[in-house]
Amino acid sequence: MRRYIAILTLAIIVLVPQTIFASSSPPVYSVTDLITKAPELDGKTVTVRGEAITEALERNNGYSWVNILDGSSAIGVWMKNDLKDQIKNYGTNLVKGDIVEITGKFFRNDPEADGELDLRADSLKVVESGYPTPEKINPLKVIVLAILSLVALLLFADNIYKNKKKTQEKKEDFEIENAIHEELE
Amino acid sequence: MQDGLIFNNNGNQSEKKPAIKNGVIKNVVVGFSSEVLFALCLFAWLVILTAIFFFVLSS
Amino acid sequence: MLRKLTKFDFKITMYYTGKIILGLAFTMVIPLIIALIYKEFDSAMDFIIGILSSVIFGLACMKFMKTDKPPNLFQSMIIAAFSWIFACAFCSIPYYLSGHFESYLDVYFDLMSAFTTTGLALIKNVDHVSNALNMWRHMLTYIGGQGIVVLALAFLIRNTGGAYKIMVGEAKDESLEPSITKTAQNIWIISLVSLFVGTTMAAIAAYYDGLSWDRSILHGSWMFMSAWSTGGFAPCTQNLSFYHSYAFEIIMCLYMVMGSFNFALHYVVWKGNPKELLRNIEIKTFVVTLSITTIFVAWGLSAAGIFTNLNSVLRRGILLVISAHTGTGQMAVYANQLVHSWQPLAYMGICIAMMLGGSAASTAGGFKALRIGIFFKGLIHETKRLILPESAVFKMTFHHIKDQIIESGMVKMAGLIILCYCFIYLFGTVVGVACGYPLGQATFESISAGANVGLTMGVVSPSMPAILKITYIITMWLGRLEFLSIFVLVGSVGLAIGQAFKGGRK
Repeated sequence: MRRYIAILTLAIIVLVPQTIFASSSPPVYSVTDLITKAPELDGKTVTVRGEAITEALERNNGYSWVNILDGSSAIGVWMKNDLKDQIKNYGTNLVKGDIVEITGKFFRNDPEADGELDLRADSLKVVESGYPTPEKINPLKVIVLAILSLVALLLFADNIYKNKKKTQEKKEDFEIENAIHEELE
Repeated sequence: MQDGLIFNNNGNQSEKKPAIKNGVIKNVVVGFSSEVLFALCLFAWLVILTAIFFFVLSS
Repeated sequence: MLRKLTKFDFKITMYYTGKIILGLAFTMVIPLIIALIYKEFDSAMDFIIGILSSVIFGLACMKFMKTDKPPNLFQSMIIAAFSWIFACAFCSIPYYLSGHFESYLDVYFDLMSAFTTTGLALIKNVDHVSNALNMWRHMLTYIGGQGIVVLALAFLIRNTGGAYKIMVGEAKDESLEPSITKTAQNIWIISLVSLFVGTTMAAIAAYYDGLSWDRSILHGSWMFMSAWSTGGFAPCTQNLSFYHSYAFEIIMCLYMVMGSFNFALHYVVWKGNPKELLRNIEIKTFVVTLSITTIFVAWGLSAAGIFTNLNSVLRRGILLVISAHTGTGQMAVYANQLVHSWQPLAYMGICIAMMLGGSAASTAGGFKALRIGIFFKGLIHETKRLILPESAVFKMTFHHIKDQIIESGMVKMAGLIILCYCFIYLFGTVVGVACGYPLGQATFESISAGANVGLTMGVVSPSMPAILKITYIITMWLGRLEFLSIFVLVGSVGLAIGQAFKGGRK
């Protein structure tokens, strides 16, 4: 009897959250999934999770394009400006962008965006906040740099020294010539 | 394969340098805009072609 | 007999190679400045290391190999080969140090892709690449592209066969023509004026469509360089579709088409003869082939039934045709979309467009319009000759800058080169299929590499087998330098090695 109860509770623990979540939010797809399964998913409501990159492209009509990158692929999301304003950090080389979860209608070739494969967002949630990632200087590079600049300096110094020598020689030649001229006169 | 003319032309260029100096900018503007115009005409032609084959022939 | 290589040949080669590398060091200053402006200190270090090592190499070469003599034609060919190898090595320093590549082979692939203005990329995580490295990637396509044109024009100065005969067969010590320098200057003037105007146009479009002003200038200049030199790189994973902007796409198309024109044609038009545009055989051929491939794609897409309005077809389909035909490789659709939802007819149209390519003596790849034009005219000529009585004498002419008579040598040459291209397309496909990729994708990717286009159906990725990477590197190189010059270069390098061995034995 105890065993049965244990199995039953386990089943409830495992199954119930799944059914609840399944009914409340649409499944999360990767962008690559969206592209490869585009014919089946066309027009359905889906959720995408990824990093907002580079910058939002704000258009005049109160909407913006935000590009979302998950791993290898990126997708354009068309959203209202108030949704866009929730995103604070966009990914560049100096910033890790906000990870957002966007739920919206997926279009394989959105007629309003001239046939683009895109998402029209209904809701947006910032899952992880981004942060700045300033470039740090690698100490190994500094060492290499020091050695290289030393070699370059030596080369330059050698060149300058030789040039000086040459001009000096020329000067001496000139003086000798002058002396000869004077003597001849 | 015979793009040689560029080189032939170059010989004459240096002789009449002062005379063409004023005309160079005008030539560049004319040349550049004529290329742009040509490309735009080409695009217009492609749009027409696409429209014909996309709508008329498919229906 | 082949000309013997002397110690002086080596000396003069290294001297001029050093000069070229020194020049390259100066171009690295631009990305360095960008790095400092945007506080990308690690990238700045990469570029300083790059600059210093190039300067050291250049200065050392110029110091120890000093000569005052100008190189002759044969020596300048070897200089081209050597400087190519060394330039790749020094340009790769910032690439390699950036940490965005899995291996040196990937770095080399991207460099070759940049120098040949192909546009296939193995760089990882493009969206997080520093502005400095992005600048450098796009500058390399731009510089590489114009450099190649100079080289192409230098080779095409005589009838293609002639130059090689002089060089390899008789080995006359002919001095390099001073007008080549003049030509190089003209090419740079045309390119720089276009760079200025094009960047401005693209930046305005990008700014209008929502990018911040400094980023729109950067992205505008990068995308312009990529389009004008028919490269195809982009600072974003999504390539052209990142911008979601019709105006931006039209501007890019404009410069793709202009970038695929012959520089001799540019020169004539810019010297005040715009009518040449309507008479030139290459332009005529280009318009005809572009129209045919457009029809294929429009028809194919209409049969596939995925697009409903005209603008969709234009922005997704026809943009791709233009990009493929000019050998650029910027795209506003996803690689996977091509695989999963495009009709075979549309796919074939794109493949044919890629094979044909733009004009000779431009940065475009493929067969080139001039060859196709001459080949077809030759075909008509032969047919006429067979139909008409033997006593009839007639000649066939074509208009390229001036009216020229088609000789059978020209037709033969055009046919041979076209055949060589077909061979590398086939070669790449065979290797791709052998590596386990589907035939359609392997063909597409192979043509894209061999014709220096840069469109992709998803085969090119850091995870593809090394043998395929090497194959594409070779086909890109062969396709870019149009076979003969490479055969000559390989021949002369082989000669040098052979002589080194001989010298050693003595």
